Formats: sequence, C-alpha cells, structure tokens
Amino acid sequence: MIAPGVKLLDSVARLEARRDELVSARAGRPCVIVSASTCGTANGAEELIRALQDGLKQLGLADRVDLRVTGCLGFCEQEPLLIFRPSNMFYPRPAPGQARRLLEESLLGGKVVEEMCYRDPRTGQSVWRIDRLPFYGRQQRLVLGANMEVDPCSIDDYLAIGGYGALAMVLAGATPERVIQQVEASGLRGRGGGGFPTGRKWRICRSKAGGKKYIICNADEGDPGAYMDRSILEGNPHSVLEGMLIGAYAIGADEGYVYVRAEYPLAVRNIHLAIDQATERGLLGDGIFGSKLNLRVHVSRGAGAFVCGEETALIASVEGRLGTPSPRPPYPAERGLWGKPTVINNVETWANVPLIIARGAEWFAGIGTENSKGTKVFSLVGKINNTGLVEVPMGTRLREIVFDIGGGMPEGRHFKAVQTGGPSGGVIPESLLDLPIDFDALTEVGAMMGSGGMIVMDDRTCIVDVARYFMNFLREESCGKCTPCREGIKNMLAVLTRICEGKGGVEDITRLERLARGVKAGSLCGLGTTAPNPVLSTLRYFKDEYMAHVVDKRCPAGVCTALISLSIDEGKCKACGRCLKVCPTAAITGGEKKVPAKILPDKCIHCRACFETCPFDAVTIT
Amino acid sequence: MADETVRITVDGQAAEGRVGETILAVCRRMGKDIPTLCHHEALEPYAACRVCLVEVAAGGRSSLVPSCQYPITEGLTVLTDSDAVRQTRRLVLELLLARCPGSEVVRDLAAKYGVTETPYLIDDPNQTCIMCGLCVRVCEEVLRVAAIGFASRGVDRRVGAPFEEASEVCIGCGACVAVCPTGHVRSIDDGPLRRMQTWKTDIDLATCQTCGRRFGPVRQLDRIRAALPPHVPLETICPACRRSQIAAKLSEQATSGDAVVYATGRLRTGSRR
Amino acid sequence: MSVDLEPVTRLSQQHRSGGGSLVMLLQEVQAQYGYLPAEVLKALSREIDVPLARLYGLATFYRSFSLTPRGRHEVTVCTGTACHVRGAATLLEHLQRKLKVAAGGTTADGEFTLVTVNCLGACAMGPILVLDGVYHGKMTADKVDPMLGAVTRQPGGKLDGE
Repeated sequence: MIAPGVKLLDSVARLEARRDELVSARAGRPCVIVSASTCGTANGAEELIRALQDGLKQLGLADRVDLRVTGCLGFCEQEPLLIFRPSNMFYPRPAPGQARRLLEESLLGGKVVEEMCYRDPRTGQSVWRIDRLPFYGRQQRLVLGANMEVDPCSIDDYLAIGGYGALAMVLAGATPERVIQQVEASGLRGRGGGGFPTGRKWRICRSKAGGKKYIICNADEGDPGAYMDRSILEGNPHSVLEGMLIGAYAIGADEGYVYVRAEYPLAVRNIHLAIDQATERGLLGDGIFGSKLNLRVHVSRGAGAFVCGEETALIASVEGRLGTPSPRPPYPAERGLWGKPTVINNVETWANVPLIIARGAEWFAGIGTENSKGTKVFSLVGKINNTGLVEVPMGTRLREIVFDIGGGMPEGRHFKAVQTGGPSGGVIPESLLDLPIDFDALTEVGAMMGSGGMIVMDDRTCIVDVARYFMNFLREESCGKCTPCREGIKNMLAVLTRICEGKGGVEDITRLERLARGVKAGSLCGLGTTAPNPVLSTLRYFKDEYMAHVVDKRCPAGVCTALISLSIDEGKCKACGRCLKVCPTAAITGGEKKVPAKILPDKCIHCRACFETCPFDAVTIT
Repeated sequence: MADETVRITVDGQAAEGRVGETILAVCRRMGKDIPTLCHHEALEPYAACRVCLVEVAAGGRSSLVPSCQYPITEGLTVLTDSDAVRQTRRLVLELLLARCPGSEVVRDLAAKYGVTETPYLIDDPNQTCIMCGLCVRVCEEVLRVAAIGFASRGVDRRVGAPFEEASEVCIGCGACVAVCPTGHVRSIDDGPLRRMQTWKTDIDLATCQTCGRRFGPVRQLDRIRAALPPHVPLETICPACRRSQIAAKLSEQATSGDAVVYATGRLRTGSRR
Repeated sequence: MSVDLEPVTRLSQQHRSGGGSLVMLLQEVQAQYGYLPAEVLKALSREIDVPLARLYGLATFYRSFSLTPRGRHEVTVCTGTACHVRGAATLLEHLQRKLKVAAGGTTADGEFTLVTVNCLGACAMGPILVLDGVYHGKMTADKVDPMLGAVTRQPGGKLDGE
C-alpha cells in the first residue's frame, strides 16, 4: 500500500532518478540541524526544535530553510547540538529562548555568537565550526558520520546521501559469490564482541543447501555503558537495512529479523518506521529493483534479558521460547532460527556492509591493522570529560582515545584504568595506555573488544568493587541452565562481596582464581565462559588493590563502605545543608546557618550520599 | 550420508561412529566411563549439568565440550580423563555438592571422582533439585503435556507447575518421577489419589471395573482414550485384571484354535509392563 | 478480582493471524493490563492453545514482565557501569531507604515501583533516573526527593515519611 506521493523505486534507474531529484531540490538550501536522540531529547531537544520552528516561521523562512532532526551525533555531553548549514556553525545545548536570535544572527547574518560557542576546556578556545571540533577531528566517522546528514524518520534523507546505492550496485551486476568475496577481502570482523570474520560466516551459511534461510540483526546491546548500536539504529536505521539486504542476497535469505532490546524504545520506533518506508518504496518485499531478491524484515523486541544477546538465546527468544542458550556446534550459520541456516550479525557490522560494497574491499582493508580492519565505534563513558561515541580506525592507541579525544579525566583526577568489553571484558591499566586497540591486542592483555564499551576509571574507582559490580550483574543475568555459571558466579560474587566488606582473606584470592578457571572452562555459553574475565583481569593488574582489601582491610579508592570513614573538612564546608537532607541516619550535625557540618562516626553508615551530594568537595574519605 | 562412517580418536585409541552421533555414544560403546546427570536416551541432549565434559582438540586449540551433545567429526581427538577434564569435573561436582549437600546421589557421584567435601556456599541444605531439567523435558518432549516448566532464571531458576499451584493439565503419569536422578520429584498413591507431591497436584485414580481397586490416573486414561481411534474402546480395567482377561481369552482360543486379534489390531503375546 | 478478558481474545486473534513471537504477545498483553494477571495468562493459554507452564516460564524469565500490579509511577535507576562509577549505587540505596522498597518492588501505597535497568545507553547523563518515562540526568539523592514529591502531589498527597 503506497501512500499518495510516494514513488516506487523498483529499479536502479528509478532509485538514481529519485536521488538526483532530492539532491537538486536540496542544493543551495540552508539547513538547520538539531540532534534529538535519547540524550538530546532528555536534555530538552524538543523545546529547542519547537522554538526553532517558531523562529523560522516568524522570520518567513519556513519554506526556504530545511529543519532536520537527527539522531545521536556522538558528542554526548553537549547534546542537543544545533548546527547550521552551509556554514557549519554550531552551538552546544543552546537555550530554546535563544533560538530566534541564533537564527537571525548566525543563519541569516552569518555571524558567530561568541558567548554561546563551544569552548575547548583544555585550550579555552572557542570552536564555532562543527567540522573543526577537536572531538571529531581525530576520529574517522565512516559509520556514524552519516547520522548528521539524516533524519532517521526520513528515507529521503538517506536516499539523498546515496542510500541504497550499494544495494543497487550489487543487484545490478554482482553474484552472491562476488559479494561474499568482497566482504571476505575487506577483513570485516563482527562488531558485537565475537570478532568472527563476517565473510566467512556468510560463506558457511551460503554453503548450506538451498532452502529457507534467515538473516538477523542483533541489536540487543546489553553491555552496560555501550550504546553504539542504539545510536546507529536510532540515527540511521536504513544503513542497517541496506546491509541486511546485501547480506540476504549473498546468503540466499528471504526473511529477516531485527532483534532490539526493549530498553531502546526510540530505536524500536525508528527501525519500524524505516522498514515501513522501505517497504512502501519496494526496497523491501518482493523483486527488489526488479531482481530475484525478496526480503521481509520483522522487528522482534527483547524483554529484559542480557543473555539474549548470545546468538542461540536470541534465536530462542525470537522463537518465543526462554532465552536459554544451546551448545554450539551446530552454529546458527548451519542450524539457526527454526532450525534453518541463519546469519546473525551485529548492528555496527551490518552498517559497515554498504560502505564496503560502495567504496570497495581494498579501501576498507586499508584502514586499521593487519587483523582488524576498518573503524570501530566506542562508547567512551565514565570518568571522562568528553563522554560520547568515538569512531576511530582499529589500531588507534588507547591514550589518544582517552586523552586527545576524550579530553582526559574531570576534576583533574588521575587515570586508573579503562574497562572494555563489558561483563565479558577486562581492564587496561595505565601502563598499557599505548596499546593499539584491536581485537587481538586486547585479547592478549586479558581484556576484550566486546561491543565497544570503554569505561574510564580514575583513582576514586575501586577496582575490586568493579569486579564485584560485574559479578553482581552477571548473577542477575545468568539464565541458570548450566551448573558452572549458575553456581559459580554466585560463589564468585560472594567472595568478592566478602572482600569488599573487609571479611576476606588471602585464601579468598586463590578461591576466586580457581572458581574463575572452572567457570571459564565449563560453562555452556559465552556469558559463563567470559564471566570470570573482569575478575581475572583485575587480579592480573591490580593485585595490590585486592591485597589492601584482604590484608590491610583498606579500600585505597575510598569506595567500599565497610572499609572507609567519612569526615568533613570544615575549611571547605559552606554550610549549604545539602548533606543533611540526604543523610539517611541523621548522622550529620551543623551544616546550616554558617555552622560547618560534622559527621557523627557512631551514626554514620558510610553510604557516601553526602560525598556524592556535596558541591564543594568538603567530604573526605579515608 | 547419515550412514557415513566418521573416524575419531578417544584417549589415543582409534574409534568409529556415524555422522551425527555424539561423543558420548561412541565412548559408551567403547566402555568409557563418562558420568552424566542431565542426559537421557529418550530426550534431546541438554548439556546443562556439565559433568560429561570431555576435552577435544581442533586446529591447535583445545576446549571442553559436552560429550552428550557434541557431534563427532572426522579426525576429532577426544580426551575423556585429561587434567582439564578432571579439574573442571571436580569443580562442577563441588558446586553440585554445595547445592544439594543432602542428596545421596550427588554425594555418591562426587565421591566416585574424589570429591567428598565442598568449599562453596550452601544456601539450602535441603535442596535436592540439581536443575538437570529431565522432569520438564520428559513432560514436554515425550508426553507433550508440558504441565511443568522452568520458572525464573539464574540462581532463582526452578522447576514446577505454573504459579506453584496444582496443575490442571498434569496427567499424573509419573514420567517425571521416573527420570529424576535425585528423587527430588516424588509422588505417592494415597487411596483414591495420585499425589504428585513435588507439583502439589493430586489426581484422581481410576477404579478398576473388574476388581474395584484404584490403579491409573483418570486424566492419563482420558488422554489415552482421546488418542485412540474412535472404534477402539478403552475399558477401565487395571493391568492385573487385564492380564487375567487376556490369559483367559488365550486359553479359550488355544482350545478353539482361532487366531486371536485384539482391539489394537495386533496379535498380543506375553506381558508388557 | 475480576479482570476484563476481552483484550485477551482480541490479542490472541491478532497473534494467530499475524505471527510474532509469544514474547511479543506477552508484551502486548502487559501493555494492555499494566502487568500480567494470573487469570489473563490462564485465559491466554486456553485461547492460543499454549501450555500455561510455558507462558508462566516466559513471564518469569524475562525481566520486563511483572506478575504483580505496578505502582502509579515508575522510578527507574540505571545501574549500568558508567552510571555505577558515577554513583548510581548510592542513589539506588537512597531510594530503597526512602521508598522502603527493594528494587523491583512496589510501595505499600501503590504509588511507586522502583526498578533498576542495566544501561539505558544514555551514559553521558549518568547517573540516570527515569521517572514515568522522562529521563533525568546527573541525578543525586538530594535532587530526587522533591521530584518524587512533585508527582505524588495530588490534593493532600504527601511523599511517605514527610
């Protein structure tokens, strides 16, 4: 059912004609861009958009200027970003009340409003052009860059930047074999954590005798702190669909699923919309571009289970069963959804496919390192100034990511470690800051690329607490099917909790190591086999911190509540009274009417609420 | 292709199997001792208990795999008693012992492999369920009733009837009791009722029309009745009375010389449990 | 307690004709009722001819389902790693004490359900609290109390403990 006015794109010629049409309609037209994904919206993007709409109307520009609402632009601390084209002037989180002024002065008048510019915290310099932003300058935003150019709710935006052109190239002249060769030659490896060579997976699936096959996009992105896939799926869903179409053609699938976790409502909405719009135009369905390729894509929502990011559990979930994994072999490429050969790839992996086809395998293989080609999107979060999504070539040094792009630690604190790979990963300490980030280098040091989450930690992060945090996470997320994971994680958590409570001994370290080895070797699926990684990795690089906890009963970072004591520095206290309000045991006297606050040690339960709340850093932890 | 022979090596010895066979099947034929808990010939492999793990090598790397499920491939090298196998099996047994410290079956199996005590947490000293899933699986796969299932997940994962209430669909067949390795699943015939105690479900027992004693669950008989072709009657007679009935008919026919064809359309000889 | 079962019939029909997994059907049912009442699951089992044990298993395995009614307001604390290192645990403990309820539970007066979620993917704003679907970033214990008070300020309404 095609809506009136929608043009059917049932041939490559029609696609190209439509693209030319869109490009010329937009040529010379100024554009106002506002990023309004989950973060942007939470920070008031909707109000800003309304103010801009009103402003454009009042200035009589509504017909002559395009207003584009985009997804996540990755510079998360500063979103929503307001960007003007063609000048590339931008303003971070402008107040809606200033919208009219900015339209007049910057869009119409071409002037920079200095006081609202972004100021680089390290140099103090204002940066008024988005294409000169230092944060972006050292990145290579091959996948995420397109987010700035498209409103995810508009397929036209995607078409205007050449979208579905790679698919057209494939269907116009390439055989499935040729497509697989290209993907193999590119060296693309799975971006979801496994790092398995994508071309090889497709080849295995293709080699299974003809018949029903499925293609799946894994958008379960469960690693806490990782949101690259959310950004791609919310911000540029068509790039994923185009990748899946090319993959479906290569392996011989005619039906697919995008499995999205329920916690991403905007991504769910946008992929549904993208599928509808593509279907309306004949880009999904039967006889795409007049070829023999048919593909229907459904959306399947997760329901709150981290384990469903594991491919066999994901399949079970799509089939409406419990998300308990199955042993492999057989691998899904051989026997997957409903027992049929199935290719499952991650969101970012799919988004790379059209680029590889359009620009060539050789081009892609020229980026990155010997065994890790292309770029990787990382979510740089935690104790970092420039929280955001960073896309860099594989092989970029960690130091560059954390300090040059990330801007270092807030409050001038000292770098301690970066945690990568989520609950399956490990920590990289200061001594390894010059590590080039690629699959193999990370595995060698006991960390793991994982899906790309990079959690920066400073000297106020307790590394034992981090291991305990991950073990607690895994205990909640374990499906409970196999003995080592279900019982082993519970026991590792108990040991870590004892250690954090000051009740641990040196023998507990040995016990942890033994459990870790057994859980790693004996578990049924990746959740269990990688669960010990955070423990093993922190033990490897921060043994002395564990020892401080078990021998000295001390938490050097000042986090473990049983091992710390809190006091207030009278010199810094401004008696604002905020700590009084949050103390659960009324353990603070004074703190208002110019009398400095004081903690009563007998009543204090070390919950640290006062420490987290105090705006003057007056609470000290020892 | 299913009959194609696959050659593998087990503990240095050459062995053979068919395509699609599991390592366990081959090893059992060789007389190898591989413990299992969640494995059952009548059910799909489950690979959850992890006591059957063996070591395989492929491409220079070795890993532990569940022998009950892992399909053999040409040239596979298997070690059933390596250090890695023993260490991991030990840990699994220690974890199981901590989970079910009072279970004789678990204690015996653990002791067989040298595990007599456990350093791990004992949350419930009365726990007897090892989460092998055999009860749920037999009810789903063989009986196709699915009266019980798995609820929750992780350490809270449990087997049982929905809402921990009496099941309306349990047919009281007792297959779950028969397959449970530890005796966690229990039932007892108590007067007119079959009490599926673990599922808090009581089912009426049918009364034999001949001798008047209680024998099979009404629901199970109803199910069999519903599955039979319409022209075949199912009388409510207990197995003992049915045997007498058949014996009487056999001696009748023996003297009259006719062939005997029974309700099922097949010649019945001997007794059947 | 009697529950209107008409939506069950309607959603079951849609499920039968439209496919979609059982998990998604349960999501639609929960969207309809706010949670998954036992009678609804039993009726559903009959309508779509799927064993109740299977539906119960799904409803208790996946965290987004609830077998008990939720509060009028849902308070979600993100406990993702990035939020954790920024103090989410302290915030959660504060809320548990304040609302006198453990994570996953609903307050006795039916006002609030406190939920944790393992990462919303908005890490720049951490620690994040979501109140009735609205995201609030850089949350601390002192900021959250007036927010909770505000949503319960029906005429005469007060936050428990005030």
